[in-house]
Order: sequence, then structure tokens, then C-alpha cells
Amino acid sequence: MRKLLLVLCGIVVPFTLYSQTFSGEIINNSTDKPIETASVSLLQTDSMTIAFSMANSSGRFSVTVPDGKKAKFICISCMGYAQKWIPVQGYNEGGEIRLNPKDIMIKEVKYVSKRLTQNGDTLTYSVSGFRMPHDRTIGDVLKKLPGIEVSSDGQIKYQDKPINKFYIEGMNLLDGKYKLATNNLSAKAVKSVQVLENHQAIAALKGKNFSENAALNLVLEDKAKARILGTVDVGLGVEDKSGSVLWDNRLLSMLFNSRMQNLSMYKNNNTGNDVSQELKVLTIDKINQLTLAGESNTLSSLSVGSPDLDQNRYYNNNSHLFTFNNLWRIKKETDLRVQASYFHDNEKQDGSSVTTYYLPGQILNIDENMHTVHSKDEIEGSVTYNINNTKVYLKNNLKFNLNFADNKGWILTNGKLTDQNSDLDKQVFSNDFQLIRNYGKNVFRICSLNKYSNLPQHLTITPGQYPDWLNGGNEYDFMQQDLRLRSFVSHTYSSFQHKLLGMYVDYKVGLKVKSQSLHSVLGVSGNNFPEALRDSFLNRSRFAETDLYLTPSISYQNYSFKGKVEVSTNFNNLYQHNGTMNKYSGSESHLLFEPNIYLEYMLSALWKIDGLFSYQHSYSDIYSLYPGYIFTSYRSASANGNDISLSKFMNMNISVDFKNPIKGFFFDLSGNYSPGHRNTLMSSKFNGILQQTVCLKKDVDSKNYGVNSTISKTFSFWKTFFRLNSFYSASEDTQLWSEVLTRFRSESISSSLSVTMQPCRFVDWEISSSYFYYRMKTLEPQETEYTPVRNFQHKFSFNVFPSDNWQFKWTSEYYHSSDKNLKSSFFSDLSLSYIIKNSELQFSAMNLLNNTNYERKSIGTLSEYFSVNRLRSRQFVLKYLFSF
Amino acid sequence: MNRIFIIVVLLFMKLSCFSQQSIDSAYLKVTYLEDFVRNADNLSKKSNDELVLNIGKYSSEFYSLREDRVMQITDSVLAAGGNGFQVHDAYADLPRSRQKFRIYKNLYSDNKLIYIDEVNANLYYKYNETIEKPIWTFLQEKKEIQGYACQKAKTKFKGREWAAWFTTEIPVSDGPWKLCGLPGLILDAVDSDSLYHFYCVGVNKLSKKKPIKIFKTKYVACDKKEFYSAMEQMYEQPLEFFKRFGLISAKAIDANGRPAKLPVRKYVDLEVLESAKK
Repeated sequence: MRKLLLVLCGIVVPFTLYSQTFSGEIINNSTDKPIETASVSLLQTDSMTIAFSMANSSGRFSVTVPDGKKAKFICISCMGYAQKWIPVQGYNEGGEIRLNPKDIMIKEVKYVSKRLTQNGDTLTYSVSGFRMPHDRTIGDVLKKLPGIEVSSDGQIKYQDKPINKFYIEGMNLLDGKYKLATNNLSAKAVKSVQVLENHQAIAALKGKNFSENAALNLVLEDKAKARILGTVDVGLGVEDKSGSVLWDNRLLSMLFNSRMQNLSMYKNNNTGNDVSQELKVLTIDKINQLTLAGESNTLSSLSVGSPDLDQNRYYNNNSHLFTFNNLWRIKKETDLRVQASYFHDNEKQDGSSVTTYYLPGQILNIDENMHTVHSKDEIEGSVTYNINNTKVYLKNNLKFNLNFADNKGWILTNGKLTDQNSDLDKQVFSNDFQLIRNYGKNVFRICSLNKYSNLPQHLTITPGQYPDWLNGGNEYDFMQQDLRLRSFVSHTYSSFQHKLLGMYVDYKVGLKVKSQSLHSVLGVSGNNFPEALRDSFLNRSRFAETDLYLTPSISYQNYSFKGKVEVSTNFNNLYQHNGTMNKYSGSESHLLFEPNIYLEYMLSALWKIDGLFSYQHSYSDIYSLYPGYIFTSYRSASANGNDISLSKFMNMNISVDFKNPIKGFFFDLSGNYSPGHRNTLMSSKFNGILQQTVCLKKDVDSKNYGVNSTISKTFSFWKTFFRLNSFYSASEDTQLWSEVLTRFRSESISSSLSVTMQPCRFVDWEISSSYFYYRMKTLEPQETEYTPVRNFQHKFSFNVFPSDNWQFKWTSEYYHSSDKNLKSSFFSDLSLSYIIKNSELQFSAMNLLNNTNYERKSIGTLSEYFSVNRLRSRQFVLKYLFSF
Repeated sequence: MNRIFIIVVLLFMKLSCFSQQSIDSAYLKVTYLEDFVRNADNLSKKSNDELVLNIGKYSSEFYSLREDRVMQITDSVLAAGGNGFQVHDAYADLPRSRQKFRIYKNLYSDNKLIYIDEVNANLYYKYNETIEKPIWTFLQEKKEIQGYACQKAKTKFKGREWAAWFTTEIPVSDGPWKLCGLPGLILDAVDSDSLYHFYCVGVNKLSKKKPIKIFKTKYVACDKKEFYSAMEQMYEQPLEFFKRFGLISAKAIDANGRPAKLPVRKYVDLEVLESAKK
């Protein structure tokens, strides 16, 4: 202790010897109270500060003269008081210093902020920075840009919202079919990618209407402009088992200059790659907001069904795709675009299945073995004329789509051979017109979409089926059904928006018209078709719906709360006519209200809660308004009465979201409940293997509910990322099942866990496991539980990159089930590629273990389905890619 | 129904209690221009900004005038029910610096500094630290800045060497950014590498007192280390950063199944952390 004291003295004493310290207390002269936050400076003769200290809260200070310096004055200053200079010589050490209050005198210096202009909300990514030697297409690079996400179907999202326009050099060549560019345009041709946040594509609406979606613009390298860019790929391979030759080729040319842009391509393959995906429209036309459901085929084509595997494992194709896209910039703000494409495919499927129907007191097994050939030709063309300036936006898009599908199938059903041939053709012509005119502050807009569809469908079944019913008990050669569905739909709307009490009020008024007709006739070979029966297989039905609606909505938003309330008022008129023997026509009108409420609240930066409530109605249309029987396949026939059905359903959804970016922890929980009510009852009964479905008038309640949760966590060790997703859903409904009113509940649970790791730059892997559980239960007339199905999936993928030029990938998948009778499947694939300058050599080996059958079980409505799909066998492909 | 209504009202009352009350107001507004580097790989390229130091009796706030204007416009348009494009259109012609940090000194407690910054779109982080007063060396140099007599002083502070000009004519021991601790206001400050340079262009007395309070948004509370590690990751490994939000798409792979290697965009800040020095 004494030693410590000595040491302390040793430290303190030299200071007290050599440094001079001044201390004191600062007091307000008028109030006699101490002044805090006053500054005390020691000044040299030339008024230079040499030392400084602040007074504490009781006004006391202490300031020391630095070594080698000499203080002349002590200067005390504080905002709001007159400054005081005290010569050091006359300083009263430790005493009071009194300051006089004084108005703050500040020499003002006026400053006016300059308004520099910048690029606003354009985010530009230089592609060269993100491009790696192994990136071939611009699509590869886009996936890496922060905030940009490319989903498995090729849709590009920016901050979780799909982009609304995809431009190349500011021109919209592909209009939604931008996968053609992302999959085919070389990354080297692109200089930078611009993200135009909150992009309003319509110049006349700038500042009047908002868009939350971003647009993407590709800025090309100078050397890629005004010259033809091309790519040639040649791929050859062999399928191990059959020894058949495989091919995968591409020929592409592109031209981008300021007056014209063109992208033309021919692609073919028989390696299981679905090229028709490139023609999919991926943007959502938010401005138009008009949607018209496309008409679908009434008849079905035979198929074992698609297994839950990657498509290239089972897609036995022979595809050819040709596409031509050209855009002319006629004037500064006027574009004319022509797009045309032709797609041909020939697909073979082999498989077998056993369908088990749980009928009251009986189990019906249908064993099917089938071989099918689907051939398809699709021609699509469109012409778009577009004026887009600050005064007027005009777009007219005329489009046609011709689809010819020929499906042949040979089925062995419970030992009996049947041929089913169906021609499912479809012709669609549509016109989309949008006009937006800007009159200063007011905007007038009108959008109109019109569509005509024609779907002639033919079904031939050999030998003739159900002779007891259709041919007076005599066997016959074949049955033939001709069916034609025609429809015209039109949707026109106009809208305006204004502000009221800090909220936005929006009114939308529109007219939807739908007119459909369905004609069908069944014929059997020979002359024994009972005359009396003819009418029950004849349809001449018409249906028309007129829907006039007015939808006011109110939206409000502040920094933690967001809400929107919308009440749609619909006046509907429904008309139906049946022109067969028992002529019938009728019409009805309804006035309906459909509220829709959305609320979102941010509790903190970490927690968010949102809720949704909506109430909706829907009517049956021609698909459930035909009184005569229609065979939809060789073993199902359906007929629906004259009753227009009305269903109402409510939807409630609530979700809680927690994200802690510091801990890298994310959690999300959502639940939904939607009860429904409708006035028709589906009735299904079996006549041998024939399933007959009819609609009856009866009130039915149904409900759906479910819970979904996701948890994820990041760890710094090996860049580990862990994610667990769980899902539960259940639905309850009632059907008349073999004349017995049956209420049933189906439930499914799925859970998947995935872990990704990247221990170093050259290696990474991902492991994922999923579990699926399905269960079916009847509640009425008595409770019965059927055997549940449990399926498992495990995937492992391993990547190695020894250098930028080489890459190696190995993936393995394992599928099994709790049902020991089901064969488990194991798949393994390898690929290796080497890149040199403008070309790349790829080698891939798929299905190394040559696993050609995939078995699975699934559960349907009061039925169980066991299927075996024939897969593509082991295959090797060598591909050379070259771009110039 | 009535009961639900009461609960909802109580809930909102409780929530409103959380909002920070203003306890001080500014009487003096000092405007600085700043030349600064944004990209560590291109140190010669300078961006610029206009920043404001609002000085109150006890506390002060410091922020970018340009970004503040953008935020105010955003807030007011959002409050009016607009969103997205209207917000963008409202500020489209304004200059921006993208410096969204805000510094509050001595606001809710003495000797504490509150630092708020946007890490990613609308994701604000907030940390507190004890105010560190730099140890200044007074130099024998004088000059006049905007009509104020200034003296030069230098110091080593938060990882950089700073030279500052202060005036005792404004006896406020404060300055731009985290700089403070001189007998008068700092009117000019530059670091030894000339990466950051603040210089005063305006001094205004506020006739109508402006309350000093934390601006309204939702923050992620963190410590300084967590803030800088988030910033660094956001800049240098953005994909790893997005994984923190459970975004599975953060696993960027190209069409060939390779992980995306992003170019390293080195993060650069006024403050150099001890750990980053090496």
C-alpha cells in the first residue's frame, strides 16, 4: 500500500512541478447559478488556443498548460453569454468567474442548396464485374446481381416483385417472352444491367399512377450493336439402353440497332429439355389488369401423370422450336413489333397404374397399362403497335394462337385392350387495346380485351365401350364423339383516382361479357344406337354472362401501417339455353358485394404482422351446364343439369414475420381458413369401370385450412445456411359417392430441411430432405380412415471448381416411401465442362445407375393412385457451344 | 365488439408511448459540403453531399440534407396514401448522395452518441456508443472561413488522422460527423488521405426552434461491431447478407450450377474499426 502511494506520488508530483493548472467555477452573473457546457481555453499572446477544457455540470473546470507553452489569457465562452478574457497573471485560482448573459450573435452565412440532377432511381450494375469466365448467357449473370432473383421458370424478380418490362437498349423487343433473351443472349454482349426501380412504363402516367415493379434494361457493349450476333451449339449423345442417337442443337442470330431489333432462333433436342418454356410470357401487365381465363379442353388426353421428378428424367421428347421477333422503331415514340413462333413436339410415354376407389362396401381396382404418343404443333403470331409519349399511350396487340394436338393411346385395362385417340385443337384470336390520354392533371383511360376461342375436339375409342348402355347389349367396333366449344369473352374497363383526407380513393368501372357454346354428339358404329338414348348424349348448350361492376377502394399507408379496403359491387346477368329435345332456356340476375380487406402492421424493424379478409362469389359456366353425357375419356362420362350453380367463399389469412438480420435468423408463420358454400352437389357413381359424374342441386358446405411455417438461420462456419419449411393443409367437402352422401376430409403435411455449405471457394454442397404425408378420411355417413401415404425425398449436390475454366458437378437423389411394396429410386448424374474463350465443351452423364422405373403412390378423392412411370434411361451427351 | 375496440385503442396508446419525445431543440443550423469516396477501389473519384448539423442546448443531430429531403418526401407521399412510383416521381429530380446515416450526440443521455444508418433498402440499423473526445493538438495556424476566424488543430480519431479548423466565435464543442471536443465549432475537417472533406458553407440561426429527435422509422438495434459487420457483408458478400432474411435465392448459382463469385466491392467508411486496421 505504501509502495503504491509512493508510485502515485511519483506520477503526480512531476506534473504539479512542471505544469501549471488553472481551475475555477463559472457562474451566471444574473442568476448566481453555475453554467455548464462553457468552454475554457488557454490562449497565447497571439490569441492562439494552446489548451482547452469544458466546464462540468456544476460549472467547475480545470485546464492545464501544455509543456513548453506559455499561456497569456484564459478565455471563457459559452453560447448565450458574453465571452470573457482574463489575463493569467491576475487569475484568482479556484475562484468564481461570472459571465453576463447576452443574446446569441451569430454572423449568418446564407446557403442555398444546389439542385444537382442524378439518375433518379436507376441502379446500374456493370456486367463485367459480375461476369465470370463460365457465365455464358446474361441470365447466368442476372442471378448474381444483389436484389435480383430468377425463379425456376425464368421469371425475374427484383426485391420479391416480378419485373414489369424487359428492355434491350431501351426497346421492348420480346414483350414478356424475355426468357428468349436471358437464355440466349451472351453475357459478353452486355455492358451493364440497369434496374429501373418503380418503373412506370407508360410515359403518359408518369407521376399520376404508381408502379411498384421494377423494369430491367440491358445496355449492350458497343461492339455488340449494329452487327449480327450469333450462337451455334452442336450436341450429340447416345441413350445407353436403346442405343438411339440424341441431339441438342441451337442456331441463334440477333441484331440490335437503334431503328430495329431482331432475335431469331431455331432449337431442337430429344434429350428431355423442354424448350417451349422459352415462349412463356413472364411479365404481368399491371396497367391493364384485365385478365381473361383461357378456355380449356373438355376432353382429356391419356397420361400416367407426371411424377414429382425433374422433367428431363421422364420427358421423352422430340422438339423443334423456331422463333422470330422483330421490332421497328418507326418514330421516336412509336414501335411496331412482330413476333412469330412455331413449336413441334412428339412425346412418348409409357407407364402403368392401379387406381383404387373406395366405394361404399366395395373396393374398385382399375389396373391400366398404357403407351401414349402425344404430338403437338403450335403456331403463334402477334403484331403490336405502340405509341408511348407523355400525352398519349396507345397499345394495340393482335394475336393468334393455333394449337394442333393429336394424342394416341393404347391402354390395357384389367386385361382388356382399348385404343383412345383424341384430337384436341384450339384456335384463339385476341385483341388487346389500351388507350391512356393525359389532359394535364386528369387522366382518361380505357382498356379493352377481346378474345375468341374455338376448340374442336374429337374422341375415338376402339373397340366400342359399354355395349349394354350404348348399343343394346351388342358388341360394336368403335365409338366416336365430336365436340366443339366456342367462346367469346370481352372485358372493358375504365378507372380514376383521387385523394381524400390523406387517403387514396380509386374507382374502377367495367363490363365483362362471356358468351359460350358447347355442341357435342356421340356416335357408335353400326345402327344399333337406341334412338331414345341419342338425346342423353347430345348437347346444344349456350351460356352468356354479363357482369357490370363498380369497385371503389380506399388505401392508406404510413411508416408502420398499410391498409386497403375494397368493395366490389357486381350486377350479373346469366342466361342459358339448351337446344336439344327438351328445350330449355332461362336467365337470372344477381346483385353481389365482394369486400376485400388487407392490413399490414410493422411492430418493429424485426416483426411484421399482416391479415387478409375477402368474400367472393363464382358461377358455373358452360363447363358445368350441359345436360347430355360427354365422355371425357374412355372410362369417364359426365353430364350436368340446367342449374346454374353459385358458390360463395370466404378467405381469411394471417401471417407473422420475424427477421433478425444480426443473428441471421428468420421466422415466418401463416395460417389460413376459408369456408365455402355452393348450391350444387357432385355425384359420382361407377358402372363397371365407367365413372359417371353429374351435378345435382343441393346445398353443400366445404372448408379449407392450413398452416405454413419457415425457419432459417445462417452460420459463419463454412457459410452454412439452414432452412426448415413445414406445411399443413386440410380440406373438407361433400360428394354423392355411389348414391351415398359422403363427407370427407383430406389432409397433407410436408416438411423439408435443407443445408448448404461452402467450406472454400472451390467446393460447395447442398443437402436436402423432404417428407410428405397424405391422409384421407370419411366423416359421414360413418368415420373411416384409409391407409395414409408417406413419401421421402433426399437430394445431394456437390460442385467443384478447380479453376475458372473447369467445373464438375455431381448430384444424387433418393426417393422412398413408408410403403415397403413401393420400389425406392436412386439417381445419380455427373457433368463436366471446360471453357475456352468463345466456346465451351460440356459433357453430361444422366441417370448413371440406369433406373428406368419410378413408382409412387398418391391419394385422391376417396381413391388411391399407384403409378409406375417409365423414365429416360442412362444417357451421355457431348455438347460444343460457340458464340460470335 | 366494444371490448375489442377498447383493446385496440389501448394497444395503439401503448404503441404511441414508445415514440420518442423531443427533449431539446436546435437554435443553430450549420451546413457543410462534403467530398467523399464511395468506392474503395476508386479513391480518386469523389462524390459530394450537403449535410446539416443542428445544434441544440445539450444535443445535436447531423445528417445529409439531400437524403433527408428524399426521406421527407417519401414519408409525406406515403402518408398521403401514395406509394411506389409517386414517391419516386416526387424526388426524381433531386440530387442524392445515398448517405443515409444520422448522428445524434447527447440526445437522451449525456456522453452518448446514437448512430443510425440504412444497411439495405428500408432496413435501418441503430447503435449507441459513448462519445469519444479526440485528443487535439493545437497548431499555430489561422485562417478565416466564411468570415469566422479559425485555428487549426489535428488529431488521430476513429482510425484516421484529421486536420480541423475551428472557431471560438461559435463556442460550441461540436462538429461534422463524430468530430467534436474543440473550444469552438469545427468549420472545416479533412482526413490525411483526403478521402473525406467537410467544409462549412452556411451558418443560420433558427428563428423557429426545431426539435431534435430521432427520425421516424423502424430500426434494428445492434452494437457497433454488428453494424459494421452487416455493412461489410452487404457490400462485400451481398448474397450471404440476404441469407440472413431467409432468402433461399441468396444461393446464387449460374446456369451451370456454379456458385456465383461476386466481385469484392470493398466497404469504406469514415470510421476505421480497430479490427479492420491490420
